Amino acid sequence: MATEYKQFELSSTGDLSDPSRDALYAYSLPKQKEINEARPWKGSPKYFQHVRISSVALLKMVTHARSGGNIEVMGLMIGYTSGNTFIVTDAFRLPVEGTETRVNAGDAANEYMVNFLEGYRSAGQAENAVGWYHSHPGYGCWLSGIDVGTQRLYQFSEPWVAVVIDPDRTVSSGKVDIGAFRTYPEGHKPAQPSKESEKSDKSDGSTASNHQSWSQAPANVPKGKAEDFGAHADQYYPLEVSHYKSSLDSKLLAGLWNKYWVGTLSSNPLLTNREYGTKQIEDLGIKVADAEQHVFKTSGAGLQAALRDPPDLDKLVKASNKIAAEEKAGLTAEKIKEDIFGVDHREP
Amino acid sequence: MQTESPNPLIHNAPASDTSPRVQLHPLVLLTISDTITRHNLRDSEELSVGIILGQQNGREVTMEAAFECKTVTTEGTVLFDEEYLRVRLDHLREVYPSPQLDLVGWFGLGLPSGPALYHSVIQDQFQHRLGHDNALLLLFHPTAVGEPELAMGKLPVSVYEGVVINEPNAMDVDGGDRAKGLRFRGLECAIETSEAEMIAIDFVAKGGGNATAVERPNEPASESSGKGKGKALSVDDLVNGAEQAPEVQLSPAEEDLISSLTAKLNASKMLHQRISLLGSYVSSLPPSYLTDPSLPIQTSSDPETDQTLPNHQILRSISGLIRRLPILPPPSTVEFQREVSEQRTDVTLLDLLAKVTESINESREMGKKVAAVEIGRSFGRKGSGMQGLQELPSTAFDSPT
Repeated sequence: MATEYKQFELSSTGDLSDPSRDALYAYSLPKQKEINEARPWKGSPKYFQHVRISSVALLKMVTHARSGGNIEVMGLMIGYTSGNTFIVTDAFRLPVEGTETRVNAGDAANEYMVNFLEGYRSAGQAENAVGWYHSHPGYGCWLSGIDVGTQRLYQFSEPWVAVVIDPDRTVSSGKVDIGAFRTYPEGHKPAQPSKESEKSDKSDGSTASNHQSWSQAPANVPKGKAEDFGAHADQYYPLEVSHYKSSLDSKLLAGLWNKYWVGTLSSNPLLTNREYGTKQIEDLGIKVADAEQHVFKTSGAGLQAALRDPPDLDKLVKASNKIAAEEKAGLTAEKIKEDIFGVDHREP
Repeated sequence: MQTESPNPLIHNAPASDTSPRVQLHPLVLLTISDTITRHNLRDSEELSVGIILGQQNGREVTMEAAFECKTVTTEGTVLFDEEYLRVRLDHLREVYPSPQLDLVGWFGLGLPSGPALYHSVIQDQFQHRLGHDNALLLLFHPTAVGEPELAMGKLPVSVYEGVVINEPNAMDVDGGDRAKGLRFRGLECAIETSEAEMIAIDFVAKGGGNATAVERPNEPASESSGKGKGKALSVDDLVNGAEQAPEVQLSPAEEDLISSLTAKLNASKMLHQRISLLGSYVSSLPPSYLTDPSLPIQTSSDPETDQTLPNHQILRSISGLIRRLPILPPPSTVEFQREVSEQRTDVTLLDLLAKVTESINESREMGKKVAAVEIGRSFGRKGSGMQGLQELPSTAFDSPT
């Protein structure tokens, strides 16, 4: 009976995947050992440049991040490395309770981690842990001081990558907000960013630096976080995140679209994100007030003062534009809904 | 999901009132798909089976996450590794605390016609040896994946609950025989997604599609060396990301707008498709013999005309749908209208504020430039008209903020 079952599986699933198209799903233990012994990343602090995340891992991480609400949650990713790329094949949760501003793994989590990985291995998923993920609900994808510390600690056991997901922004923008980072070794001075930060005016006491090469992070870092954000921004670099799916996944996803398209039409982002939107505006308000203060302080100090900008004016503009764009997208959704389903209200 | 094949293991009685209603989350499907693909690519000896976690609230059962599990083969019988399962389940319970998820069932592969004997042995293991009386079986049909029905939205899965039929010889005997008294009853299963899950699915469904298509030709070559794959990926990333529109550089905000509009467009298209499908179905029906008594009562499909035999169930649903339409508008139009316009004003106000901020910044830039020019000029002709100029820019350009 057992062989019968296996037979059935072999005969029926064989043509569901394509060895070359789904190559990322293969895993060779000896090859990974070889890579891990060769340690090609040793020489250069920016060796790793890409992260590829499997559909199932991405889905697990996003739902986990969202389930945490305002609390930061954390988990691990398993996978392998290939060249300068991390291939993340799966992810699992850790029993770590973060607070609203930080998340840190304790001893209990470490023990859990070891046991859980053992479970994967004995069921045939031989990959190692290659990184950790955690959520930043509402304040974007970057590493805080604690995160930098955590990542640095783990990075001793290379290869290791940090992934950050913002569930709030994911929902508000309708796009998965995700970032992947690696820290530089302690004491390392990143060459390229420092050039830029010289350019930016540091004399005005602003701690927020401008050298981020990824686009979404700098604009909307909340006021309360800005200091933390700026203080550590030169200690890590972002990796490019992309995702992959198997050929079977794509077939299933096509089928799924037929089930959930209704949600696309019926959802109302303006309502579901009201709280998040308010928070964003509130934060922007604080920042604007700060900038105003700055202007008041410097005004009247003569012609030179006019040359000195309030610290974050560009960012303020970006942030406000972003909020407005998100809100407008919500309104568009509503308008479309009204046009399709609405009754003509002009008639009494 | 009812099958009409003479599968002896299917219990054909209609689902009772106590039968659960199943809400399946896409993550479970993708986990199964991941398991299958991985086993295929790694020539794994393991069976693609696992446990499903979810919640049970009365009759509602959600299937929210799935995890692969180990099996053991003893005397030709496949069973779950119970020790492994217990440890795993304890671990998983710990990380799904709110809402608390627990085992609601297991998944395996099978034919669309229904479970086979080897499924019922495992089902029996869950229901009797492991004490999960309500464990459901989610059967994934690998053979149905290539069918055109999948594209039409019929997912290649079916859900069963186990029913013990009290046959005389199935009483008071040990497990192996008890499994013979076990029958499966098909259950209704609907897809359910949380909002974040939906976005993630959308994200995966769209973005990755391009990436894989471009990347494939490079991959066989890249398999030979680890480094090569990295290179292939960066090419692929370039094509996927930056090169999307070579002539026009779109800002992230514009990309967002486009993607959200495309999603809406696709959904509206889908709605339109569905409605026209209903329309064409109704118009293909023969004229009703109820409204025109001269027509004969048709009981079978007439192959000569293009008309289909009316299916009363479908017709009833259509009529129900149409009847429900008028109650969709909110009861108080005035209030609703007010709310809508309030929301609109809010958004427009926000937009206006953003624009104001932008223009402040621009005028500030302007001020800076003028000031720079003025400074240069005042240095140029030192002593001549300096006093007046010095006062002007600082007051004129600080005020907008």
